[in-house]
Amino acid sequence: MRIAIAIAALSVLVVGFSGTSAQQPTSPTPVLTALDYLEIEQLVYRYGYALDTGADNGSGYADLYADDATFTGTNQGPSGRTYQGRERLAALARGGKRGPNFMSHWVTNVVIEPAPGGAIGKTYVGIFDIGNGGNGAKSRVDHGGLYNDVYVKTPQGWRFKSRSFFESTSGAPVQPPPAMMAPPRALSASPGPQSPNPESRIPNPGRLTAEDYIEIQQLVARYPYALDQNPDEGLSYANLFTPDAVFRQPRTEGRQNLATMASRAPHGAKYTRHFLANHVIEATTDGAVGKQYLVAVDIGESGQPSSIFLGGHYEDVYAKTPEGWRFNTRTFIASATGTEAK
Amino acid sequence: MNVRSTRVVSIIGVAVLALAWSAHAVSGQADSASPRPLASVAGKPAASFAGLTPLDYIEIKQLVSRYAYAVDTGADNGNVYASLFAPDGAFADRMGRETKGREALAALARRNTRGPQSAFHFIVNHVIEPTSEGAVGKEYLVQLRIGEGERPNDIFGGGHYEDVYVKTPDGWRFKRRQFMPSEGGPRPRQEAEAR
Repeated sequence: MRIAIAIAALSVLVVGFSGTSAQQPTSPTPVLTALDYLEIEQLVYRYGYALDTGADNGSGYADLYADDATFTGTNQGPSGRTYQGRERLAALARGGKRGPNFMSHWVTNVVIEPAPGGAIGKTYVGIFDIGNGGNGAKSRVDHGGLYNDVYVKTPQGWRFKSRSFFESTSGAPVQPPPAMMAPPRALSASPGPQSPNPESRIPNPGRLTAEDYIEIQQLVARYPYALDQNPDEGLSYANLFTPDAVFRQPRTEGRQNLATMASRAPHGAKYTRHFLANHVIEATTDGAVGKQYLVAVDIGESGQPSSIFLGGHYEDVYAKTPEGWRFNTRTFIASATGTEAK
Repeated sequence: MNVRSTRVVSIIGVAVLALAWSAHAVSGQADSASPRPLASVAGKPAASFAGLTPLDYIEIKQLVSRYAYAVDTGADNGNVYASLFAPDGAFADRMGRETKGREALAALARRNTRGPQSAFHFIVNHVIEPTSEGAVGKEYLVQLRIGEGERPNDIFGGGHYEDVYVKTPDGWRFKRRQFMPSEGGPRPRQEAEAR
C-alpha cells in the first residue's frame, strides 16, 4: 500500500520537527495520513460558515473546538483576549451581522504540520463585508490576518485545541507568532539516509497519489508565508524552489536571486498579503503542473481602508525532488479583461 | 441547513450513477479506491455515506478549482465550463432558475467570460460531505474586479455555492450548483460604526 509506505517515510521525518506552541512534552507526535490532512482542512473550512451564520445559536461554532479549547483574539484590547469553554465560544458566533447566507471569513493558504499531541496549522483569513444581495457597491475587505492553530483528534474527529487570530501588520518584524513551521518536507518521498542531491528528480508515472496532491498543496500554501512574513532573508522562500528554478516576472533564476527578490518585497512577522485560491494540479509525465488565482490585498492598518493591490494567476511547474515537491517554474500573469491573448 | 435539503432533493437522480461508478477510481489508483469510513468533521455524523477516499476529496476539490478558470475565461467557446457538469447537471442562479444541458451551459460561460486572462471568481472554504449518492459541498465565492481598465480594483460581490457532486465515468462532476448571494441582514448602525 502506497499510503503505508508514506506513513513509514513520514514517521522518520516527523522526528526532526519541533513545534514551539505549548504542548505537553510527553505527547507523541502522530503520523498524519492523507485523510488526516483532508479532515483538518475540512475543519478549517467549516470555521467560516459556523462563525458567519451563527448556526444553532453559536453551538455550531463551539462544536469545532475540543473540550477546554481556546480562541484568542490577539487584536482585542492591549494584550489580547482568550475565550474558553463552550458557552463563551458559542457567544462569539452570536449577534452582529450574521445570517444563513452571510459570507465574511475567507480562509485560505492552509498549512498543516504534525506536532506532538496532534497537529498545528496556520491560515490566512480575509474578513470581508459583502454587500447585501451581491450588490458590489458596499463590498469591502474589513480586515484580515493570520490564524495560528493547534488541532487535536477527538473521538468525534479533528477539532481546534487552540486558535489565535493575529491582525495583519506590515513593517518591521515584531514578536513572531507561535506555531512556527518546519520547511516543507516530502510526505510520500523517502528522504534516504544520505544527503540527497537536490538536482535529482524522482520520476513520475504520469499520475499523482493522494500524498502527492497534498504535498503540492502544502508547498503552494507555504508560498505566501515565505513571501509576506519572510523570517530569514528569503531563505524559506528560495527553498520552496528547485535550485535551477525560474520565477517570472521579473525573470529570477536560482535560489540566491529568489531570496533577494523576496526580501525586497514588503514583509513582516504578521503580514498577510498574498491570498491564493482555486488551486488546480495536473500530473505530467515528469512531474506536475498547476495554477492558482492570486489576490494581493493591502489590509488597512490603524483604521485605514483596505485595498486590492493586484490579482491574477500563477502558472507552475512542480518537480518531485528527494526533499519533496518544489516549484521548478512559477509564472505570474496579471488579471486583465478583454480578448487579447496573454 | 440548505445543504441538507439540497441533498434530499438530489437522492433520486444521483443514486443510480453513483452506485454504478463508486468502485471506479478516476486516476486508476487501485490502492486508494476502496471506500473507507470517514469520521464526520462537524461532529454530526453524515446521514449516510458510501465513503469518500482521499482521492475522491482531492478530485472534488480539483473540480471546484477548475470551475473558476472555466467560467472566467470561457475557454473552448464555453465547452470547458459545460464539461464540468454531469450530462444532466444544472447551474441554478440565486432565484433557483436552472441552466441545464451542454449547449446552454456553454452559452452561460460565453456570456460571463471576462477574457482569457481574467481572474474574477475566487472560491475558498470548500466543505465536502459524503452522501449515499456521492457528495455535497459548499464554498465561499468572492468576485474581484482586478485590472479592468481604469476602474480601481474592487470587490464586485460574493456569496456561496451549494453543490451536489456525482461520480461519472469521466470523474466527479457537478450534478447541481446553486449560487446564493451573501446577505448579512440588518445591521445595527452603532455597531457598523464601531468596527
